Amino acid sequence: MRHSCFITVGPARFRIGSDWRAPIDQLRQLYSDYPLDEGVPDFTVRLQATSALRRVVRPQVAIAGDFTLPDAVPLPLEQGLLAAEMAMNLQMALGWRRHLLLHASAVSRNGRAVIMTGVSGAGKSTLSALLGERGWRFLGDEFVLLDPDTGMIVPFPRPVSLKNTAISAMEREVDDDTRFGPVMRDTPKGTIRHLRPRTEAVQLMARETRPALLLFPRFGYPRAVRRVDEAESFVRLTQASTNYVALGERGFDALTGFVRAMSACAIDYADGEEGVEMVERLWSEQGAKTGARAAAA
Amino acid sequence: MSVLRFAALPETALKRVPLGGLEAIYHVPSGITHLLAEPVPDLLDALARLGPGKAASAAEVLVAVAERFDIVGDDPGEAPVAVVAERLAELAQLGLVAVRHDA
Amino acid sequence: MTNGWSVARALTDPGSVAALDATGWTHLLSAARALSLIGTLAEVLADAPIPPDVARVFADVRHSNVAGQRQALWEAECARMALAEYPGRVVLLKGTAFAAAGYDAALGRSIGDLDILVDRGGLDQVEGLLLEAGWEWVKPDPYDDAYYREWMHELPPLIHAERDRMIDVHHTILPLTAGPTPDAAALIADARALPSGLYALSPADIICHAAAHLIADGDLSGGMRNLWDIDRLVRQFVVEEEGFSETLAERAKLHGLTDAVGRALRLSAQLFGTPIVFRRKSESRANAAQSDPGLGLSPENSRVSTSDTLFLRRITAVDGWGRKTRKLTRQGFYIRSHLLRMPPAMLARHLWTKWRKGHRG
Repeated sequence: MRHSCFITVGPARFRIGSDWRAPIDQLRQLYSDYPLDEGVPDFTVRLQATSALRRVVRPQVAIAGDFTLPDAVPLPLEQGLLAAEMAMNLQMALGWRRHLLLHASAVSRNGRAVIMTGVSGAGKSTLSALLGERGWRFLGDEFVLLDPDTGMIVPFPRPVSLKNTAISAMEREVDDDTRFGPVMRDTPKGTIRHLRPRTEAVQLMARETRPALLLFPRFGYPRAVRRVDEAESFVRLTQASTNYVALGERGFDALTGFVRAMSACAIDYADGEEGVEMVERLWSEQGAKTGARAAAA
Repeated sequence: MSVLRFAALPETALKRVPLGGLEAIYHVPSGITHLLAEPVPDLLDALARLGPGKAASAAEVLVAVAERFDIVGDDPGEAPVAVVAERLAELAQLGLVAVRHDA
Repeated sequence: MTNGWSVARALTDPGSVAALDATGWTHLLSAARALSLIGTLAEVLADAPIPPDVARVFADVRHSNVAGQRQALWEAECARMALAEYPGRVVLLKGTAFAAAGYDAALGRSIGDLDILVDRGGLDQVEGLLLEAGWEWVKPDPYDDAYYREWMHELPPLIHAERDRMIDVHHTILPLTAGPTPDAAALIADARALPSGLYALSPADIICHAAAHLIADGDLSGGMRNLWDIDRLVRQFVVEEEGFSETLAERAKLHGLTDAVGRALRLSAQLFGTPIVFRRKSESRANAAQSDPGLGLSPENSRVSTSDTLFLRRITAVDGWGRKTRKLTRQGFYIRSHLLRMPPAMLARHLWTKWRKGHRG
C-alpha cells in the first residue's frame, strides 16, 4: 500500500497500510513512545478507499485486514485514525489466542492489578485513565490480557479512547497537550479524542502484573458497593471476553481460576473523583485482607 | 414400551469446577461451557458412580440422589421421578449424558 | 512479487520458506490469510524451521484450527441427534465431511457452516426436525425464501438460536439453474457410512462435488482452498482406492461434470503438482493402471486452455497486503456467476426484484 507503519503494543505487533498519508502520520504522532520497528507482524490492518474515485472525492475509509466484519461501515477520512484504532481492536478481538482477552480496563500499583469491566459507557475507560494520572500504572483501557499459564495480567496499554464529556475531564487532568490526538467529531460514538498514556506505562509494557481485584463499575449512579460472587463474575466475564470460546479448555481453566482467586465488587459512583476514591479504598481493603491471610498462614 | 436409560460420559469428556453454589462444566467434545445449579451436578455424580458404560433409568437415579434431596416439581402433582427424568433428558440434549433406548 | 503462487509454493515445498526474509514472511502470511489457507500453511510448516515471530502467529492459527474443527464436528453431532428420527441418509459435505472421515484434506482446513445433503423428498421432514431442535430461519424475507426453495440446491439457511451456527440443507450439489444436473440419488446411494452414523460422499463424488463447486461458484474467492482440497484428496484416493481413476471418470460422466472435473484437476496440477497422468488414446486401461503413479485423465482433458489461464489468474489474485488484486478479471467472474446460476429471464427478474428492494429499503 502507498503508506504504512508498524506499531507494537504490549505483546502484539501491527502492520498498518493506508491509501492516504494522513492516518499514518497521525498514528506515528500518537504512538511516538511505542516501538515502531518493522518485523513480521501479528496482524495486518488496511485502511483502503471504498473505490478508486473515493480515494480523492469525499474519501471514505474502509476497514479491512486479516480479520474483517462484513458489515463494517466506512468512515470519512477525517476519522481515519479512529478507523485504524477500530481495525486494530478488531484484529485482537477476533485473532488473538495467546491470552484470554477481556473487554476491560486495568491499572496496577505495587504489583497488584485492578481489573474493571462493564458495558460501553459504564466508565471503565475514563476511570483507568484518571487512575493512570494519579500514581497507578496504566495497563490498558480496552483489553485486559490474562495469561492462561501463569494467571498474570499482560499489559496492553493502547492510547485511551476518550469519548464526549470524558475528553474535557482528561484535558483538565493532563497538562501535556502533545499527549492528545486530534479531536474527531460526529463519529458513530460521538466526539472522540485519544490520549497517549504516560511514558512510564509504555516503557513498562513488557512487565506483567498479578491481578488482585475485579470491579464492575457503573458511572453516574449514587454511590454503592455490592459483592459479586464467583458464578456471577464468571458469567459476566465470559460475556466480556472475545476469545473465551475460541480458547476452549485453556479459556475455561484460565477464567475459572481467575474468578476463584479474585475479590469482586460491583461499584456505582456519581463522578470520576468518587470513582477514584472507591477504587483506592477497595484496593487497600483487599490488600489488607490478603496480608492478614498471609500472616495467619 | 421402551425405557430411557442414562449413562455418564467418559471422565475425560467433562471438566467441572465449583463456583460458589453453582458448578461450571466444560464439555470437551463441543467446547461449550455450562453453568449448572443443584441438583443437576448431583445427577451427574450419581451416573458417574455407576461406573464406566453402566446406565440407569430415571427411577434408579432418583433413588441414588433421594438421600440428599427432596425432589419436587414446580407443579406439586408432578411425580419426583418425572422431575428427574426431565432434568436427565435436558442433560442428554446438551450432550452432557449419554442416553440409550432399552426395550 | 507475492501472490497465490507464493502460497502454493510454500505449501508444496515447505523447504522453500527458508529463503524468506521478514518482508517475505509478512506478505506470505497476509496472502495465505486472504486465500483461507493460513490454517493449512501453519500445519504444513509445523515442523519447519521458522522465525520466532512467525511461530507465534502460527501457534495462534493452530489453536483456531483445533477449536474450529471441534466446533464443526460437534455441530454435525447436534444435527445427527436432531435428525435421529429421519429414516434417510444424512450426508456431510465439504470440510466437516473431510474432518469426520479423517481425510488429509482436513489438516488445518477452516470449516464454515455445516453443509448436509439429504434426499429431496425428505426435505420437509428434515426441516421440521431441525426447527423442532432449535434451528430457525436466517432470512424471513419471502422473496429470498421462494428463490431459495425454487431455484437453489438448498433450503434457505437455518441458524441455531443458542449455538449461533448455520446449517445449509442441500438436496443436490449444484443449483437447479446451473447447466449440469448431478444425479443426487446416486450421490446419496453411494455415500459411505461414518462411525457416527452420518455419511460422507464416496471419494469420487467428493472430487465431483469440489469440482462442481469450483466451476459453478462464479466468484471463485475460495478457489485456491478448493483446489488444495482436491489436491490432497486425489493424492490420498489414488493410493487408498483401487481403480480410482476409472471410478472418477465414470462418476463425473454420470453427474455431467466431466468438463468441470477435468478443469479442476488441470488447475490443481498446475498449482500444486497434483499427480495426474494424461493417457494416450491407444493405451489400454490395464497397462495404464500398472504404470500410473497418479490419477489418469483422458486425453481430451489434458490440454491447458486459455480459459484455464484466466481461472488461474483469478484464483491466485492476491497481494502481500492480502488484497484481492486484478479487479477486471474478478468482475468478469462475478457476472459469469450470475449467468451460470440463472437463465437470462430469471436473472432479469432477480436483479429487478433486488433493485426494487434496494430502492424501497
